[in-house]
Amino acid sequence: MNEIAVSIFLIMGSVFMLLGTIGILRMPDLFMRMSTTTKAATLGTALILSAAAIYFSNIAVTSKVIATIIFVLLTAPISAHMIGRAAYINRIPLWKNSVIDELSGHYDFTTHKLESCEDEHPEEDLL
Amino acid sequence: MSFFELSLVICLTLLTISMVLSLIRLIIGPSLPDRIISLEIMTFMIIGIVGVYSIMTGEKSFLDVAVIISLISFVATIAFAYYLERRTQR
Repeated sequence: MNEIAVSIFLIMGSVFMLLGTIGILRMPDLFMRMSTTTKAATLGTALILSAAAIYFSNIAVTSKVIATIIFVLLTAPISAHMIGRAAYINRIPLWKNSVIDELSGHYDFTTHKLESCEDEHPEEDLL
Repeated sequence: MSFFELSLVICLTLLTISMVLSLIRLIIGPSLPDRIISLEIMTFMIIGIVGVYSIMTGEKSFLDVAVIISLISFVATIAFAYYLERRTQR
């Protein structure tokens, strides 16, 4: 019974990993590719590690696995955000059929600051 | 061969195929951030392979390697992102 659960978790995790990698190979755009790595690969890692936790049934292994899963869940979105921001500042092109670029005109490409409006001195409007 | 051992072999095969596919993206990737995210997904796959291998051999201490690899992968990705951002300032 225990081994069947471990097998199901392992196969599900590796299938999610494979889906994430097919996404990274087939998606037309850097930003779409990044979404597959942060979702599918994180879920696959979490499933495979929890399979190890079920297999050993040990409190030390389980706490180690929970710490690793929480760390991966916290850091994968942060690193994806950092790379996406750096890629946008580097002017990596979007896909040619992209509908909207909501960040266009809001980034100052010399100071790397994100502006919420294009008004240069918004405090003058309040006076 | 029982279902359990077969599932271990299937899992390792799928992870190896994924690694080869992400290696293709690492080689043909048109820009530097493509290569960085391909390296990042490779480290996730290495964590998975370490987990499967520790189940296969019954050795618990291999899971420490998975913790360390996840830490190093985060730091490496953040460093690459800083490098990418600073590269445009010049």
